[in-house]
Amino acid sequence: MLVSLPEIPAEDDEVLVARARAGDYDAFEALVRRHQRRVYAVAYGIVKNAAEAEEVAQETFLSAFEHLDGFRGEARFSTWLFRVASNHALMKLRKKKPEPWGDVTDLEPSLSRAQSRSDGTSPFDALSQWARRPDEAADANEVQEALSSALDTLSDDDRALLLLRSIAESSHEALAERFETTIPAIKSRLHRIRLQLRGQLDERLHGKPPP
Amino acid sequence: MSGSTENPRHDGKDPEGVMSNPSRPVDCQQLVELLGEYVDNQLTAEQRVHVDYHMEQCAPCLAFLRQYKFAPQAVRDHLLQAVPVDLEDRLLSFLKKRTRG
Ligand SMILES: [Zn+2]
Repeated sequence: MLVSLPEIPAEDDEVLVARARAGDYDAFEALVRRHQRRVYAVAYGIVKNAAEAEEVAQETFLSAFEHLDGFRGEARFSTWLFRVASNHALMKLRKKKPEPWGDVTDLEPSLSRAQSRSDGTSPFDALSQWARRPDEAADANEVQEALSSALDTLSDDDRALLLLRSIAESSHEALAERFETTIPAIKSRLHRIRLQLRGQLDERLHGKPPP
Repeated sequence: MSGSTENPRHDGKDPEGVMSNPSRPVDCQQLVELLGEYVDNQLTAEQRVHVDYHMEQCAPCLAFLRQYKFAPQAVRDHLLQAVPVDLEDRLLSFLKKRTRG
């Protein structure tokens, strides 16, 4: 069940964005190919609906195409892309329960270069690691259901934050900008989310009742 | 071990966190507070030694760390597996239509 993805190579993105901006459509398509799985996964984790997640992916890459001229190397392309994807996804949720929401294609020209993440990719299967605990093992379907329902216990914004970190590999700095808060606040919020997720999964996978 | 989001053991001791006294060994509660920085490789070398030492001695904390670390990766893998195999083709043809007339 290992899902291996290459690291997000920011340097190559810059080259492709520059070529796409100069009118090279193949370069744009290469950017779509490179990021579409992660964009969809972030969107799906937020909207929890396949058709809507695909719409979010469509809207996100259309926005990217229309805003190619906005990238002059100040912001990392993928940071911007996943920010737009998460905004589109959250906006879809908020249309169902109407609330005001800002411009989703805000380009963030001041965003500084994101650092790459050191612990983002796991060389082995996270799920089997969980099940490998000596006291109990869970079958694969049970794990998938547990993951889905544990994710449901997070708020929309917390889900978006978690997925931007774990799938899009956004830096703490970019996330602090995105959620309009400080880096320490983002770190502590991510810590709380991880603790909640761990607790929810443990309840589900080990059959312990909530305290 | 409890299914709650709290620390593995409920010692309740230690009013000062390890951050305020990095030369002291960590207890279970302090260890949980440090996990975020631990998995992000942001602890000092000394803090890291204390955390590693604690986990060698404390099986519940080691299990807790594994779950804490792998829960987000499990979610990531879970969602990536939901990506339709033909998404890329559909997306490319949608975009071609919309951007090239
Ligand atoms: Zn312990």
